[in-house]
Amino acid sequence: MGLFDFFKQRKELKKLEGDVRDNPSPLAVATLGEKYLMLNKNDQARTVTAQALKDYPCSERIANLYQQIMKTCFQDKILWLHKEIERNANAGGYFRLAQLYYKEMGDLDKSLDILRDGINRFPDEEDLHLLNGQIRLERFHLEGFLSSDGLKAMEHLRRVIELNNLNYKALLLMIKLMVEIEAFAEAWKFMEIVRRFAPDDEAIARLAGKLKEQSQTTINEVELELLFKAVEERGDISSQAKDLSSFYKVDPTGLLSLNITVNQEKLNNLIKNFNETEGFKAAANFSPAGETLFRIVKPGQPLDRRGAVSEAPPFLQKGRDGAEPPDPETLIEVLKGIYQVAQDSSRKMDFGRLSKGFLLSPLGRLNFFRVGNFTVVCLFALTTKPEVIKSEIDWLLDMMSME
Amino acid sequence: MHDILLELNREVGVQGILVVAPDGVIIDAALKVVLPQDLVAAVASEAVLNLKKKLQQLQIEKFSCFAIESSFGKIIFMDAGIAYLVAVLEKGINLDTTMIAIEGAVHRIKSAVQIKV
Repeated sequence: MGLFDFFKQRKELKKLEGDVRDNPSPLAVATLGEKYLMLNKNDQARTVTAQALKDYPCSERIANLYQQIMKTCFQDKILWLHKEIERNANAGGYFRLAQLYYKEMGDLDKSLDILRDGINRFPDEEDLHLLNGQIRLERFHLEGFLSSDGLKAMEHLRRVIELNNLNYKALLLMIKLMVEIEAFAEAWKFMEIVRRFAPDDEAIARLAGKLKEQSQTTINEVELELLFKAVEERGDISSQAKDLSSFYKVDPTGLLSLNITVNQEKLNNLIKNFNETEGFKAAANFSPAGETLFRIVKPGQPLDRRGAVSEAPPFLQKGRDGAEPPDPETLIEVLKGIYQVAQDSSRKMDFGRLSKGFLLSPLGRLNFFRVGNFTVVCLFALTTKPEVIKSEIDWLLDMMSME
Repeated sequence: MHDILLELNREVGVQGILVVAPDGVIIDAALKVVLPQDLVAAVASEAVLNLKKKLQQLQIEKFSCFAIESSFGKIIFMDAGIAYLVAVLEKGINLDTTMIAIEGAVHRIKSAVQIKV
């Protein structure tokens, strides 16, 4: 870099740092973080983005940037571990690489991919199963208690206990998971093992006292699956299970441990702003259980001129005889049904929780996205430019990220 | 048609491609080994059917594109005339770039079908 470039970059950096100081926002921090990264100031990039993750937990921009920064920081180590596995495949190499992705970068997906490969090669390796079970349990907690994650966590933790029934961590995680889904009899079985080799464990003794009454009935595999499904449908574990399972706190990864609390009233107010955008038709906010918490439907739907008229439903075809606009109830129900199709597909594919998506049809341009535990759906005319909708959604998410 | 799918499957971040008829029947598929073929086929078929069912409540018969982005992956459904092209993608890929490749494959499938007819 020449002297001129050096001063130019320094001036730009000072300006961006000033922007973050005087007018902080996810966009300002992300721009500064990217600049640091571009100038190889990785430590500053990491510090500023890690703080932003805490300040703006809803911001996807910040989360993506953080992962990118961490990958850059650990690039050499990742490469070295990959080469080590290629040169001389060993369970330890897979474990270290998976742990690096998990603990340092919060990339659960990549970590699970590595563990899958590792377990295929070393099916009896306790550490690989334990890490897999731990990550699945974390996904279970973070991704809306999907039964697929819970069942996988159970499968891998069981395997660890089969391989070594004195694995204390696996036993505690298993007890916690079973208590969370209220499979108390199953939890009891594992508690008995712990109590045999660790009779002084006070937390387990206290839990045993509380569960003694509820642990008599046996439970089969089908019932276990149903208990996982019930938690998934509720979108949360019961308050009793929460209380009981607090005997053992699991430390989640830094990146994903942030609890996102969303102010529902603020969200609804921001959704109202969509009304100002040209081509807006309808929007709604749904709870994790699919309940409509807020909705707004613009009366008198105009024809989508860019869509094929013959394909458009009668209510969208202006001036057509007998063309009635849909009643808002039906429209909102359909919008909800569409995002639920997306949600179901995502869960069945083991892709975790739905974060966003869109549908293009004669109905218009439908976008859906997650804000904390809520799902927002907004419908615009096909004539509305996608980048306009994107900037509206980004603005809403940025506003939600700020106090 | 299978060659088009194989070609698209070679794009960065593409995990698998399927062609699903509007009634949910799988016409063709090219999936990378990491994906469980039966599961992906079942999910794609069910999603197309359920989505069409929802839209029919408003007398809409077709959709042109349906995109799903989740914590650990992405799925795109695109109208390819006689059927829907379904692409399963890695979570980290840039959707805009891959969309161009998917649209290209859709055009080629459409014209291949027209030539046959």
